[in-house]
Amino acid sequence: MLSFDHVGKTYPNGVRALDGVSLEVAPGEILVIIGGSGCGKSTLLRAASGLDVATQGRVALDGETILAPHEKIGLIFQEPRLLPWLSVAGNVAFGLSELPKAERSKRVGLALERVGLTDKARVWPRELSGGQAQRVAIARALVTRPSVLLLDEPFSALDAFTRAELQDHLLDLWEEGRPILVLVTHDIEEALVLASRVVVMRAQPGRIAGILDVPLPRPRDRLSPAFEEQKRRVLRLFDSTLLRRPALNQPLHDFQI
Amino acid sequence: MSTFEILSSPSFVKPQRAGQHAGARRLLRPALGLLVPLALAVGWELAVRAGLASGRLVPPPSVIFTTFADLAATGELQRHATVTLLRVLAGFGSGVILGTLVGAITGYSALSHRLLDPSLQGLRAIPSIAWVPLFILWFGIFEASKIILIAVGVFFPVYLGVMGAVRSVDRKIVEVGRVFRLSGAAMVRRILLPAIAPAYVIALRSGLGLGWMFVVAAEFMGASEGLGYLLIDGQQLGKPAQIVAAIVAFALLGKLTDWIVASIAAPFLRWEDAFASR
Repeated sequence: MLSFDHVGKTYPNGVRALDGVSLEVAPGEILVIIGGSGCGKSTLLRAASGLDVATQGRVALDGETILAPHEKIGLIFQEPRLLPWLSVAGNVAFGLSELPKAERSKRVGLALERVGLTDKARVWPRELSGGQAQRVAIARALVTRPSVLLLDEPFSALDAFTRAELQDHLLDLWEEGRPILVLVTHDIEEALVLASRVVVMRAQPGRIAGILDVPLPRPRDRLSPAFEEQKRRVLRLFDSTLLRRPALNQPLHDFQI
Repeated sequence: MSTFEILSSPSFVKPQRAGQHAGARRLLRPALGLLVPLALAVGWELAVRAGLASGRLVPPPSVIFTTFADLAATGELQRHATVTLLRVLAGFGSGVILGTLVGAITGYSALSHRLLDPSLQGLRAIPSIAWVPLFILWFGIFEASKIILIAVGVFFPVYLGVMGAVRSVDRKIVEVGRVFRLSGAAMVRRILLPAIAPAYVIALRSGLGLGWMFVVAAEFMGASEGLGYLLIDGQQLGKPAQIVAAIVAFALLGKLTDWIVASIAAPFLRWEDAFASR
């Protein structure tokens, strides 16, 4: 169980990025956090990863407060962030340095097989396409068998075809161990393809605007009427989060001199 | 195939050439660089032999070669070269160790950067040769002052290279290390060192180049041995061939040591997405 308890983040310059976010994610759940830019969704994810620490409230995994990166929590960034001086296999093995060599290479081989890149094991990261590189990043995060995997807009830099392919691929990988997935995105369709629950956030300060269950069975048909219906639900909730600037609602003549 | 894959596929990046032509070209391409110096050397030699020039102040290649061979035969060349090489190695070694340590510290900690870097940049602005009189007063005219001068020359490019490289290591890559909970030492060994390796090798090579430059200055300030002494000796006794022979020895040793540093570094830099490797 990953729990957020009144999590808030105020930056030293006084900007409140996140305010009183409370949320519980059960084992085997895929939680997708969605919202416009500046709504604090990445801040929330970084607090869960332990890379940044919340200034109010706390994030806990099975009761243990997260104050620094945790061995049971994996993180995938928007960019693959592969280490250019290590081969693909070396990158996947990066988090396994404490294992004996035989066990390590067995796990790396398995992980590469799972992401379909066995033939790329000896290749440098620069020789990979964007989608392949992100698959290596996923393998690197999953090979340590985390119980929570956090993903910060992992597919947003990819083209639409690769993105859809990797979404399906991520679901396949998730099916194996069913870790908790928390994924941040600004893509409503991506949210609905993956999520068991969708959290919609609003900005200034970052707060939860609403949480929607996604009752569709997987794999989900992006074109089905039920999928479209869910999309409308999210959009309606999303619409309510948009900041209404009073000035824009005023009649135009107020501005005339 | 995506555009990205097409652009990065080997056949796009390196157009295939017909087999037998590739082999011949591989031999010919470096040879092309020798054309100009060889033509000049042969031209000068012929000009002197034909009596068009005396060759007294600019000796023809054959005279330089004979001088070089004579110096080598008597063991003089080896003795002077060894002394110079040892001075460079001692100065280079201590300059590299200090430059690396101080560069790593000021690169890593913002406080020590603010504290030390302005002073070091100030010292760097002083032409190192300007230290010579002071060093002679402080350390005498023998080995110590020479090696310290070389070390000072080597220190600055190495310091600058390491400091700059450590400071510009991508925060995003460091975060990967943090996510995998690397300790401080592991972070240095597994993230920072490989990340700065390309810049470090360049810093070492420019440091070595400066080391060879400063050894000449050091040997000008009163040495009884060394290739720099051969230069001065050749000037004072009016033996231009000896000067050129010593210059040739400098060139050979400089190139050789640079090649050694580059070859030791090469296996660590194979991953580099270098423009030159395309």
